[in-house]
Amino acid sequence: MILEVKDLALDRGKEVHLRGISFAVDACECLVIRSPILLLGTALLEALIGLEERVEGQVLFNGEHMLGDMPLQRRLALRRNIGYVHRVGGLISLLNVRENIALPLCYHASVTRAQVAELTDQVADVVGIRELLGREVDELDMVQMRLVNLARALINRPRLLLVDAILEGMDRQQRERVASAVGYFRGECDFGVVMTARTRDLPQTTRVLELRADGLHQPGE
Amino acid sequence: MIGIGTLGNAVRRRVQRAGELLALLTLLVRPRAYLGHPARRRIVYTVFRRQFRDTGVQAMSVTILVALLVGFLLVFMLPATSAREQLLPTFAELYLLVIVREVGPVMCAMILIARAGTAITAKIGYLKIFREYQSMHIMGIDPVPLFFVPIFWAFPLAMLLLVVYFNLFALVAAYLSLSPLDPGLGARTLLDTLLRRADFQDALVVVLKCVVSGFIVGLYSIYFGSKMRGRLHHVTQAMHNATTRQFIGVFTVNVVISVLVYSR
Repeated sequence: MILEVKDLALDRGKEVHLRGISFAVDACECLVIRSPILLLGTALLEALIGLEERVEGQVLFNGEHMLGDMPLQRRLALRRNIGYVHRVGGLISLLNVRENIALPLCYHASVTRAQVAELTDQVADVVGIRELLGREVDELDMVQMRLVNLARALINRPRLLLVDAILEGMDRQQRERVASAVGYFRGECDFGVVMTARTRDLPQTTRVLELRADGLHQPGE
Repeated sequence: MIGIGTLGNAVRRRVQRAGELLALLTLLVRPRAYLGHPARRRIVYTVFRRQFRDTGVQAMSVTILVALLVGFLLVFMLPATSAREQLLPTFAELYLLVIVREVGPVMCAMILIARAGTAITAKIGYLKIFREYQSMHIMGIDPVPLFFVPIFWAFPLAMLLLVVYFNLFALVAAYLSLSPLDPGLGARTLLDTLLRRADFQDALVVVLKCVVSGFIVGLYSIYFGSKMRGRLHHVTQAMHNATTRQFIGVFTVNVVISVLVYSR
């Protein structure tokens, strides 16, 4: 299993209160977690990656514990093989689109300037955002930001992709573009996907669960 | 009792802030292993280059304008009774004392605070508010060495550049103003007189003032920007806090260095 979540409980005051979250994701799986409130899904993904403070339970990524006290550098090292696609924001305004996409690659991998350029162009072509590469982050609309987020998450060939409801509000063409990009990179190097959603799933979805305050349920259960 | 409690809290807050500033400074000046990683070094260089351009290059026009005005003012303030042969030595003395040693570094630090310090406080604040800081952590990236260190080091270097512009253009303005008073005055004579009177210590003092002032402006900008919490109105509060401390810090450092070096 690439990701194992055991009895996760999260308390972020009145707005977000989750408990009894348990699931596992295999390297080949695409799990969609449907949530009627998008904020709940975001909170769950952030808890999985260790960003939430008031959280209990266990999250194991590649057999390594993601939660609990640990030195910052250790925590950062654990996240290097996880791609995270933000629903809102998430891009670094100090850098332009090309630099944003290349950022995790430049930081984590030993690559030459030519390799960075080549891989950035490749992922941008697959996601369909080649024309955005020279732009600044504040020139992008919400959907373009999500696509750039996706490209940035995929460039490092992650073992696990966490996607925060990015299909909501996209038109059919944009949704197809996201699905084909995820499919392209999954074909090349298999990785697990956990995606939150309200109504829209990826075509690659292998399992759907519904998120409620008392845990995850099968749809219609 | 309430008074003692308030005083105690104020002291505790200041000690805590001093500790945090020291910790941040240590993080910013510590040698980094990432410099051996070419791809990371390129990001660092990109951020540094942008910051240096925004601070040292784009502030050129305002620095030149202020320097020209100060240069004219300096000649205007020359004693009217100065004999023509005394004009040049008096001016050289005044230029080195006022422009090079004192006004130049302080004025450039003011421009640096207004032009770049406030901008960086706001930029780093936005990184926090719009959760870009968190986004870097999600990617497993430590933002301090990658973004804060190059921004921090751009400040003293930009400050040095601003002081060079300032001294140069104040001198140009002074030369243009002196020419009608002494029609035989050549630019080379003016430069020779200044260089004869300037010494290595003056240059060292100016460099020291620039570097320390740049560090103060950079440190406070990054500190108050990164301390910001998630509300937009905190940006103006952070800018206000940073600017006040930067002004006090820069003036204090300039006075202390001058007193220590020139009081003997």
